[in-house]
Amino acid sequence: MNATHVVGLREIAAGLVALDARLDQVAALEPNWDGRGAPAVSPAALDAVRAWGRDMPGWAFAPAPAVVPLASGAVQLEWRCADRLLELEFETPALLHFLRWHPASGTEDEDTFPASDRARAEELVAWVLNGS
Amino acid sequence: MEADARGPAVPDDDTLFRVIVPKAAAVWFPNGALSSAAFNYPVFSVDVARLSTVAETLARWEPGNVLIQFRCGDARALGFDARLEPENGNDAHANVYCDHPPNERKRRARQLAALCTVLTPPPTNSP
Repeated sequence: MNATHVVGLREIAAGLVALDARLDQVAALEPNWDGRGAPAVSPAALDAVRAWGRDMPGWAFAPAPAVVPLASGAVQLEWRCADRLLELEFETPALLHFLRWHPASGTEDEDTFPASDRARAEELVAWVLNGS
Repeated sequence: MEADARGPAVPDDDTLFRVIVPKAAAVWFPNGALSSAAFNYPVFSVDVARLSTVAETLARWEPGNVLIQFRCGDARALGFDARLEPENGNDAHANVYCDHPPNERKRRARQLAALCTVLTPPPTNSP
C-alpha cells in the first residue's frame, strides 16, 4: 500500500471491532426492513464479507467501512475518505462489484472482479484511503 | 414491465418524493450521506410532489421516516424513468424504472443519490 496511509494497531483494532458490530447490525435486519419487501440480508453474504475481511490487511479497516444492505439481499461495504468513495458489493461470495467515485477528478469507475483477487481489493481500498 | 406498458411519463420539471423507512434509514446514511443503496432497485416507488404534499406523503407511512426529493428530469437523464401509476388510492404514486445496464447500476444510483435533497433528517446512529 501507499506509505502515506500509516495507521497504528489501536486504530486497526478499533476498525475491526466497528466492522464486526456493523455486520451484526445488518444481520439483525428482518425481512421487509426497507418497507418494500426486501429479504433479510443473506447469511452467506455476511459470511463472505467476514471471510474476505480476515484475508485483508488490517489497514483496510482503519477506519472501518460502513456496512450497507441492498434490497436484493446482498451487502456492500462503503469507505468514504475526504471526497472519495469506494463501494464494494458482494454480488455473490465469489464476485465483487465496485464503484470508485471521485467526481472532482472525473473518477467514476465501476466493474466486477473475483473476491479471490486480493491485490485488486487492496488497490481499491488504498485508493480510497489515501487517494493513490 | 415493458416500457410501452407503463403509465404516462412524469414531466421532467416535476419533483419526486421518496420515503425511506426508519430501518432502512438507519443503514443507508453512513456518516450522514445517502447511500446509492437507496436507488439500487429495478423499480421503486415515489410520490409526485405536484400531486401531494410532504405531510400527505409521510402520512401514508409509519412515523419516523426520512423523506428525500429529486427532480424527475435529472433522474431521467441518468436512466431512471418515472411513470405516473396510481395505486392503493394514492393518485400521486409513480414508479421509477431503472433503464440502465447492470454494469452501470451503481454509478447511476450514486449519481442520483448525489442529486437528492433530504427533507427530513436521518437518524444520527447510522453505521
